[in-house]
Amino acid sequence: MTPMQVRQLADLLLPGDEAGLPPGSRVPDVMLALTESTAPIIAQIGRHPDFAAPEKRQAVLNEMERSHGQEFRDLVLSLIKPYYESGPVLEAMGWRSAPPQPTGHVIAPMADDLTQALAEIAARKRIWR
Amino acid sequence: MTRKRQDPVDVVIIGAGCGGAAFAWQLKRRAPHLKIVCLERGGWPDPLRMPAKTMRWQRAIMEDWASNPNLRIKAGGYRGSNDYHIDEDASVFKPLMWNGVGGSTVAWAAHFPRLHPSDFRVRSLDGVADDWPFDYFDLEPWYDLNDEIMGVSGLDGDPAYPPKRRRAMPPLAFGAVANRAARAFSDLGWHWWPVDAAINSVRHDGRDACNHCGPCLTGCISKAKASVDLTYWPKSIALGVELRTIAIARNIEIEAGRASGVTYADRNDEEHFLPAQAVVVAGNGIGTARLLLASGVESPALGRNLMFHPAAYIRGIFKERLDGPVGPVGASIYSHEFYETDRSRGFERGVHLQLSRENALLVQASRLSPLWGEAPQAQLREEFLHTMPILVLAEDLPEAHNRVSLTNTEERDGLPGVKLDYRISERAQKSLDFGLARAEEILKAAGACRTVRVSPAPLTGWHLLGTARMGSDPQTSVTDRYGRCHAVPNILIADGSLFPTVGAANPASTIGAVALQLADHFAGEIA
Repeated sequence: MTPMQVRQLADLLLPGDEAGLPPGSRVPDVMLALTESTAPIIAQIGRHPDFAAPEKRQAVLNEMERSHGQEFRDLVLSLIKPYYESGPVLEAMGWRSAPPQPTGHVIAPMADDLTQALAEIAARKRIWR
Repeated sequence: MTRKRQDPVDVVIIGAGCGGAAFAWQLKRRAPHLKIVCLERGGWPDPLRMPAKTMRWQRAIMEDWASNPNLRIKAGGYRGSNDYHIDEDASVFKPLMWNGVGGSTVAWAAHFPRLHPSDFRVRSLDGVADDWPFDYFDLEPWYDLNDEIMGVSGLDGDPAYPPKRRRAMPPLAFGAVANRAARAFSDLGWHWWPVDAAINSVRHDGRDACNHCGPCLTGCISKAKASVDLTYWPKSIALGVELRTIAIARNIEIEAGRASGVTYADRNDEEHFLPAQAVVVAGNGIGTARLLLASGVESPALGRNLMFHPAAYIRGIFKERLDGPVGPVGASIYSHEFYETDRSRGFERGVHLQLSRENALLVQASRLSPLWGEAPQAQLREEFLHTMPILVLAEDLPEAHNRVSLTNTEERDGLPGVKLDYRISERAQKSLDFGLARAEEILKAAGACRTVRVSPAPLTGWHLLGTARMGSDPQTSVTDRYGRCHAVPNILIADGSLFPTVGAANPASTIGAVALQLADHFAGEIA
């Protein structure tokens, strides 16, 4: 597969959106995973005669997904992982790029109005047998 | 292979998880003169290798820290859990477990409910399955003791249970999602309550408070989440129990109807024979049955009556932003409004409803269909940070065709392969459908603009129960009420395999309490 085809494939699988989610080809670890992959399905996609035609590329991938179900799924998963781990993608989705620890997260305590609700539940007769 | 014979001990415990840890501690406490050795097939959990501080924390949930051992084996990583392959193709629910010191408490959500009193008397009250050989109130002192050692956050006054001792810590923080869900339950007039959680809400017992990082199932770096490697084991080792890690029990040697000891392989795959007066097996509902079957224990019920808790999810999608993947994943609020039998529903027994929290972004992305192109990315845009999931747990009842059995292959650990056969009963499916309908009402009341059901939810097989059940009849049970095998009385079982029935609530609290009770009795017997 040529470098251009690799970019085309990445962008078909992970197109991004206008709200800031980058296309796959703009995420370095996705491109690294794709160029370093030894999965035979990548070369098969590249060799497909219709992959050269922009309007037919989607159909090529649909066909490969039908004919090589698990291989195709494994390929997509191998790209989804670095994509949704990348800082710019996490931030574009409204999340933070830092991992969960060591800082953790601040979450709201039980709301004050629920204290009364709990008192009402506690006042119910027992519901165990 | 030649075996090295070791010096005899009084008791060998196989498995350093929830049941084995509690049993070891209580037995040594009650009978300090006993020489007790625990053989654990895995290693100690290493916080430095837990992924929550790394950028690959989401991937780890699906690979080397996946809850399912087959996925971990596929990922090729070893993080302390010394896994064996399980043939799970014929099981609706995929088994989840951790095979190292701490057992599955290393990777659990630490939701820590007790069973209800009615759960011990399902035959007497509802005419189904069998009563336990003891009741809730018999077990209560050991529930209290187990709570004390594990450390429980929660709130007194819950009308779903008989009064319990004051919880050691206040409830965990709710977050936006639990505050919203609680109001919806109350609007409907339904019971809800903050969960009992074995997670520190404040600093307790030398461990920090939870900082709500989110991925509880990949181990707790901060040690805020209780696991028995942090609670029971340091105490047991201080008392003098010896814990041998990377020690795979391959066979319980049985001579003339008595166990004479255990053959195990060490980290160099060298075999040893450890003679013992008694053998206690606590390898969970799969591992225990596998070892006993492989050792030739003959008992018609052994391996049968496998019970999970049939589980399903419903996710509500909201316009408003909620919390996202933060906070203890399984520990916020729950409802037992529909836990007890109401025959007008068309089935016996009931359901547990539990608010959960949102999955990590990558986990959500990997479960979409289609998986690639514009549509899944648009769906993620709509759903991520806008989701409230509710988990429905139904009560499983024992059915002999749901079982653990051996295969004809030998696994890498030197034991026969193991296979699960499990299908959901019509009654359990009715329970799930009923629970999902109630959960949908909650989500609508909370303001969800749409809902998505996942029923059944295959990757929920944490609770591995019932395959060596207690009872009085050797034809239908494997052990007596004290955990002693009918067929080989000096083999005891001390894990969830013993459960005759399982209620609809998470079992770890009951596993620990039962193990403490059995150890207490056994200490008097062996002394």
